[in-house]
Amino acid sequence: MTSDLSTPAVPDGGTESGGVLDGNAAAGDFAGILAADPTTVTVRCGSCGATQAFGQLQAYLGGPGTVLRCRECEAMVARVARTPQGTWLDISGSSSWLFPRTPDPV
Amino acid sequence: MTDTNTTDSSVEEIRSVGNHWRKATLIDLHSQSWHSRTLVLRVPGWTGHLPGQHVDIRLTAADGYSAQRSYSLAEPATPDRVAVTVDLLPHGEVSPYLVEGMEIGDELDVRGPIGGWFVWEPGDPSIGDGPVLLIAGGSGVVPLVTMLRARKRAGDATPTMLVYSLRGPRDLMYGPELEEMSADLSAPGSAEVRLVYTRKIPDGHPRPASHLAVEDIRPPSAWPDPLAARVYVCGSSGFVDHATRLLHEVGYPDDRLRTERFGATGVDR
Amino acid sequence: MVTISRGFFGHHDSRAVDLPPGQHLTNGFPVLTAGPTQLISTEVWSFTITPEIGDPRRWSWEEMMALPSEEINVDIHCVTRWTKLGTHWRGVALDTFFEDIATDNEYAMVHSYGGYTTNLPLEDLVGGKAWIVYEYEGEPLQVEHGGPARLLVPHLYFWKSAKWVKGITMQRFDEPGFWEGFGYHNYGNPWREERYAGD
Ligand SMILES: [Zn+2]
Repeated sequence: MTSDLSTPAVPDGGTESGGVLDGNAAAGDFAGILAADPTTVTVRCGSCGATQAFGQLQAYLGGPGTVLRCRECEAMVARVARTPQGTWLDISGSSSWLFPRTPDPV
Repeated sequence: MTDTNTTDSSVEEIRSVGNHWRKATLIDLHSQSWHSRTLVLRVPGWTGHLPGQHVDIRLTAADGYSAQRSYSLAEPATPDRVAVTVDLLPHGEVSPYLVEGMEIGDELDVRGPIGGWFVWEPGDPSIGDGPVLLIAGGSGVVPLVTMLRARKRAGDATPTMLVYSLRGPRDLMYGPELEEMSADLSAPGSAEVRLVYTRKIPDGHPRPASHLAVEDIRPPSAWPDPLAARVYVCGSSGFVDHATRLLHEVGYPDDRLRTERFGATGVDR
Repeated sequence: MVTISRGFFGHHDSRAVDLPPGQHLTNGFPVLTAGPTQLISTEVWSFTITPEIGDPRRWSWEEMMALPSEEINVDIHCVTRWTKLGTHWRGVALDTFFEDIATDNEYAMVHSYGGYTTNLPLEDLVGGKAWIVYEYEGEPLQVEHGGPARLLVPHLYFWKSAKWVKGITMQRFDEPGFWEGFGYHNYGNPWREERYAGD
């Protein structure tokens, strides 16, 4: 344990550090694509079938695109890249995305 | 990505309100520890956020070079206002500017709020009457203190304990505030705070320096239930893994845990 | 709209040197990865070239170390806009590996431990343009930079220089690799700024 860290979710050196983060760190990338907040979505891995909240996926940021992997088997479940042509989304590694119903306003 | 292509950002602006970049101006600064400080930014149009959410910050140099990082929001929501607490990473690219370089009136871009998973909104029905356990490693304390402040502001009485692991006394962030919050546990908005020093303790601290252990996360005697209804853990990847192992050991099921990790450090070469 | 932050320079170096368009100098060595760091010991590491006919040709670590190596001093350019000047590597030219290989196919797919792929024309791998490298700045190549061995193709954007390289498969037709099929340029010449599909 060390405290010489910058505050979450991406450490300074951050996108240069190549370390694994959790899905919260990738939420900014996906927020522009999905109408709902991505971090509460439940994603099922297409390889091993494990389900996990988007926020629990393993996120690899800072490369040409953002890659999300299953926390159980490390298979890629989704990736996103932004290029001048537009935003590229690949969810072929996942079998389902459950968007929780938002409670009706009180 | 650090692509500053303007076409990208105008497309983003149309698509999603939460996802476009806004200009932010530094209006206040407070030192938090010898290597961290809180920056308060005025962000016109910022409508608020939930405790635990984060914000993307983008710095752009005069020649167009730009770098982007995420930081936890350090205050409960106030319109047009964003606060972040930044810990200095000595060879970092962004934190030295934010902690040592930036002055009142300087500007940067922010985007957010982001995230809804690592969030505690007072009154959350899935938490019920609690209790809530907050476990921080180093500067992972920032979003957890924001949760405590929001709880206090809302007058929420959910039993809550913060376990804060840090290296030594000079790494302590929010020291006076945490002391005040835990001084009288019958006062509204108070919370039990346990400081877990891992290398060096201040004079008179009862617990010897060592890593977070099972005893540190044992419930206070006042708790009605030995297990918290919800646990939030924030820290480095290694810290979160370690804390999660301890939580499993004392019987916490996975569905009570919410974690946020920030990656390994000192990697700039 | 972009806000300029007064007094922010970042880690890049603004010395006026001849860089590919849109690139900034960096003094660090950013680590970018699309997946977990692969921990491959030299005992289990091997490198295989699979031509369209005949058996694959496989080299163990010892067999590769027995091949003539050379020192390589090159600049590297990442599509995420950083350029690092004067990097020193040691490794074996792919010409040496391909001496044994008979192939009529013009395209190659590079495979890594962990599943990463990148595609190149064969002519960009031979002719002294590409190496399997295992030392960086006089030290064994660190695992986060692709050790024990990675591909080095410095005349193309650095995503082509696959970390934790495992093998090359010869193909009759060009097929896109991990980033090439996802919005990035098929060839990736930094001097023509071939970053994205369609550039
Ligand atoms: Zn899986």
